[in-house]
Amino acid sequence: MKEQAPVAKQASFLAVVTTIFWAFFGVRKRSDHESSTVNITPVQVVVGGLIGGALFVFILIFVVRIIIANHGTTI
Amino acid sequence: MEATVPGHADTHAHGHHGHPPSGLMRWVTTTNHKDIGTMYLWFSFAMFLVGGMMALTIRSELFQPGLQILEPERFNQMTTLHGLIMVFGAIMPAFVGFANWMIPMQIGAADMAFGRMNNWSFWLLPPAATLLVTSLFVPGGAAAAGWTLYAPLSVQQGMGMDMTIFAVHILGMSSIMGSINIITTILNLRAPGMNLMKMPLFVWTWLITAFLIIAVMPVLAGAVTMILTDRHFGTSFFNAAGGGDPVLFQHVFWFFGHPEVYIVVIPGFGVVSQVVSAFSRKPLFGYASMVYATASIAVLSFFVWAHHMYTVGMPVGGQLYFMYATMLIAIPTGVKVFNWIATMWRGSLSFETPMLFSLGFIFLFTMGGFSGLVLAMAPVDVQMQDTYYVVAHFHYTMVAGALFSAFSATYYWLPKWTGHMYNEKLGKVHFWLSLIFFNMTFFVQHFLGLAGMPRRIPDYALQFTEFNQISTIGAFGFGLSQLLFLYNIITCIKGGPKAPAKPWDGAEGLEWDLPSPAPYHSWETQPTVK
Repeated sequence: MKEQAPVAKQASFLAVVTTIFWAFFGVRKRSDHESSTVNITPVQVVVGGLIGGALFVFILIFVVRIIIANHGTTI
Repeated sequence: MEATVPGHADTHAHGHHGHPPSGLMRWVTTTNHKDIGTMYLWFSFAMFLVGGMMALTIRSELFQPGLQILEPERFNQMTTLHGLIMVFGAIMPAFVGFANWMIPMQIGAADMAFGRMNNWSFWLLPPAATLLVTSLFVPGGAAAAGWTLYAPLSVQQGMGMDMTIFAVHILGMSSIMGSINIITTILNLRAPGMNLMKMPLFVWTWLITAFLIIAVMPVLAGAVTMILTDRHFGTSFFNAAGGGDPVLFQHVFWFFGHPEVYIVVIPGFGVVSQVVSAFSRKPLFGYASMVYATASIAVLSFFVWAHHMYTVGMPVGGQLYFMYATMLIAIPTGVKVFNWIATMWRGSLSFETPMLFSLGFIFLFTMGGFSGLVLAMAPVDVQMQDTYYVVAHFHYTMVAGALFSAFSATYYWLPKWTGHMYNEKLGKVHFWLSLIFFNMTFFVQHFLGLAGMPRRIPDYALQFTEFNQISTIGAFGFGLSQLLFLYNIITCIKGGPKAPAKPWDGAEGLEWDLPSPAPYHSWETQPTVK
């Protein structure tokens, strides 16, 4: 993807995390999108997305465990 | 988006290459993306008619209680083949057909990346379809385990099941090769300046879908291979008597099956995004959001599979996890619907047939989404599992989702393909009849399900009669309405008012810079996108 070669600076970790979060929500502010597409590489998006997906699963499992523990049942 | 078209080399491209082989050999040997796209589309329409005839057979049997025209075994074969043929033979090939036709034209590529593999991907389909259809005539008949091919039924049935397994393998190979081709084409053959975030939504959605296909088709192949070895080679993956577990099959199947739902519908999202934007004469609201939301739906679709199997025995923690995950995945999908509506907001709308079908998609797919949310709740699903409520739900997403968006795409791009305008009035009649008869067929099935009518049965209790009769009449109306579609397409191919290069004034994209009909070889010199 040559057109993304002239990247001024790599996006920060926080920028990638924010982008992925909004992606999962499905909404993206135009100004944020414009700044993120300049800086974030496709590799960052893919790796971030997979880690985000794993986190999504672990957080849900954590929530489920808390709910079940409070009701005296085993998972 | 603005493209610089280098001269008119494309329109005279025929001359540089001589004429392709004529007659049958043209179609057998072709590596041209337009020829292959055309074959995919005709094949899928033929399969749509075959699967539709099976649906009408099912609905005829259900017109009144008791057994009239089918033995119960035959009835189960009909439901199984109807599902398999519609999903793998009609809807998926239809969207691969659109992809073949439109992706190279939309990204400014001369053709698909792998022409011969493209040809092979298509020509695998007819043998697979033949296996499925002819399995009806072998001893024991066709597979009758439902399109989900659940063990232990699928381990026990006759040779029709082996033919189905082989057909699923072939169809999966075809889909995987088609996906490799699509990904390579999109990532490597884009015109200069066409960066990823400038690509039309249809291309984006197909890129994401192709990755999904590559990820899950091997899972299905694995599942049916395990059935095959259980049947013939002494393994016991799903055979409880040998220490196996039939529930394992359901987990493996739905790990494929849930992303499959998105494989079927995500390219439709792309079509609707483009059509709504074109006929609202406004850029798509939240283009980036749509791309991100589609990608995240694809990722999240891997984590929700067991909501299809709440009732097979699952710890309460598992039920809660899959319930929460499923409900959360509705958020990005809901955002898409929001984006389409926001695109139309204060737009300069007109309601030609493609737009009507896209609006029908948004309206009905949203209803299918809502009934999906109902089913996502484990305690509710325990009541609804395997009832007609589920049948109504997934037909709202598959027929009103995938099929309506395929109709929308066909009417939208037909002038580009044929060089003629289709009959708009007939198109609108086709839409309204489809909309009315679709709801007549499937809306009542919600009530049948709520009242407790199970799916996949040839007979039912007397109190379900009226709603079943309404549904059957609706189904015949829907089926017959599709003949209008066929007639409209054939007359459009044969003649009709000449289509301009860009028949829709609000349409955006490189395909509209090409003349109508699109020349046999297009974008041999790549355009530059500014």
